[in-house]
Amino acid sequence: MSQEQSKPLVVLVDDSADVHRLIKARLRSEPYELASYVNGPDALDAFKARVPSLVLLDLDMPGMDGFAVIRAIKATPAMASTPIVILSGLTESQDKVAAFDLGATDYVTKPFDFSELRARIRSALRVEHLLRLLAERAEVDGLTGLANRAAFNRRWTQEVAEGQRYGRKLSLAVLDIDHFKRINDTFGHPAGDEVIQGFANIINASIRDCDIACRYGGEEFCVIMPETGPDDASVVGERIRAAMAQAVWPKHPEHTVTVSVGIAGTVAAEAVPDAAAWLERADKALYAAKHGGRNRVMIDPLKAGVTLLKMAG
Amino acid sequence: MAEQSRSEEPGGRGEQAGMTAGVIRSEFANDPDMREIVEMYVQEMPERIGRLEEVWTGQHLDELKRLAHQIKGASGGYGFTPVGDAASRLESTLMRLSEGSTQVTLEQMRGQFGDLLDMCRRVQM
Repeated sequence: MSQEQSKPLVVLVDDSADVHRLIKARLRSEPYELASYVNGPDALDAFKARVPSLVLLDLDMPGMDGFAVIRAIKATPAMASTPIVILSGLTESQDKVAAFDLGATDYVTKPFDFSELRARIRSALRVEHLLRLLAERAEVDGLTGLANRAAFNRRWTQEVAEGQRYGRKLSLAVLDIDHFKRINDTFGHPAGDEVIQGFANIINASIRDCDIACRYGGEEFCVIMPETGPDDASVVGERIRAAMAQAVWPKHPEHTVTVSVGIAGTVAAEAVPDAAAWLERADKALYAAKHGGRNRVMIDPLKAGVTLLKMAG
Repeated sequence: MAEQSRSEEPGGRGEQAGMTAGVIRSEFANDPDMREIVEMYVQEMPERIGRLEEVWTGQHLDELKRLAHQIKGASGGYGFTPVGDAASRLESTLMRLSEGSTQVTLEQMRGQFGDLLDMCRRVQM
C-alpha cells in the first residue's frame, strides 16, 4: 500500500453514473489520476490495493451510505490522513455536521461549481502532502536522518511477523559505540555528536539497500537485515566495525572510536518466538561483545539449545 | 392545469421543434471539454422522462423523490440549471410530505412534477 506512484490518485464514490461522467470530464486536465466506484464496498476493496490521495464521496447512496464509508475509512490505519471531500445533494446543516464530525475534510453541495471543486481538491491534496511529510518526519531521528525508535519498533515487529509466516531468513544487529560517555566528557558534546553522525554515515555506507538502519537511543543503533542469515549478517557487522576502528575524527585524530556489535539471526524465522525475545537475544550478544573486550561482533545463530556465541572477523 | 395536459401529450417535444423560445440549452454547449457528455445527457433525457412518468403513474413517491434528487444533483453540472431547480422544488415538497407535513397538497405536487417534466422535454444541446 504505497503512494510512490508519480501522480496522486483521487477516487470518486457516487452511485450516479451522471456524476461520474461529469466529474471525469471536469477533472480531466488536473494533475492527478481519477478512479471511480458506484458503491462503498467496491471502493473500500480497491483501497486495500492502493490508498488514494483523496476520496470524493457522495453521502446519499443506497446500501452502504457515505457516512458508513467515512467510518470505514477512518477505521483504516493506512488512511488516517487521507482527505475525504463530501459531494452531496444533502444540504441540511445536520448532514454537514455529521460528516465533519465523522472526519470529513470538506463538503461541496451538488450541483457543484467546478472551479470551486477543483480548488478544494487542490487544497485538500496540499494538506495531505504536508501530513505525510510530518508523519515521515516523526519517524526520523533529527541528528542522523536514520529511522527513530518508534519506526524501528514498527518495522521490526512487521519483519518478524512476515519472517515467521514465510519461514524466511532474518537477522538483527544491535550496535553500540564503545566508551561513548568518555568522548563527550573529554572532547565535548559537539565531538560526541560528530561521532554519532559519522557512525550513522558508516552504517549507511556499509549496509545493503534492503537493510533498515535505525538510531535506537543515544549511542545505540540497530540494523534490520531482511532475507539475511547470521553468517551474511556478520559480514555486514564486521564491515561496520572495521570502518569505525579505522576512522579518523577531525576533533580528536589521536583518539579512535570503536563499536561493539551483537547479532541475532536465523535462516528459518518461524523457529523464533517473537520480536521482543529476538531483540533481547541480539542485546545479549552485544553484552557478550562488550564484556569480551569490545570492538568486536558477536553472533547468536538462534539455534535451539545453542547458547554459544561466535565472534566474527 | 396546462402543465398537466401537456404531460399527457405524446410527442410534446416534437411540437416545439421549430421554436427557439422554450428550448433549454446547456450553458456548456460551446465548451469543448463538455460537449460530448452534454450530448449524452440530452440523448438520455427521453429515458429519464419515461422513468419519471412511470413512477408518477405507479405512485412510487419514494422512487420519485430519489429521481428528483438525482436530477437535481446532476443537471446543473451539465448546464441545465432550470431543470435542476425544478427537480429541487419537487424534491423539497416530497421530503416535506414524507416528514408528515399536512401543508403539501396534491395540486402542488402535480404542478411541480409537471414543471419538471416540461423542463426535461425542452432540453436540447
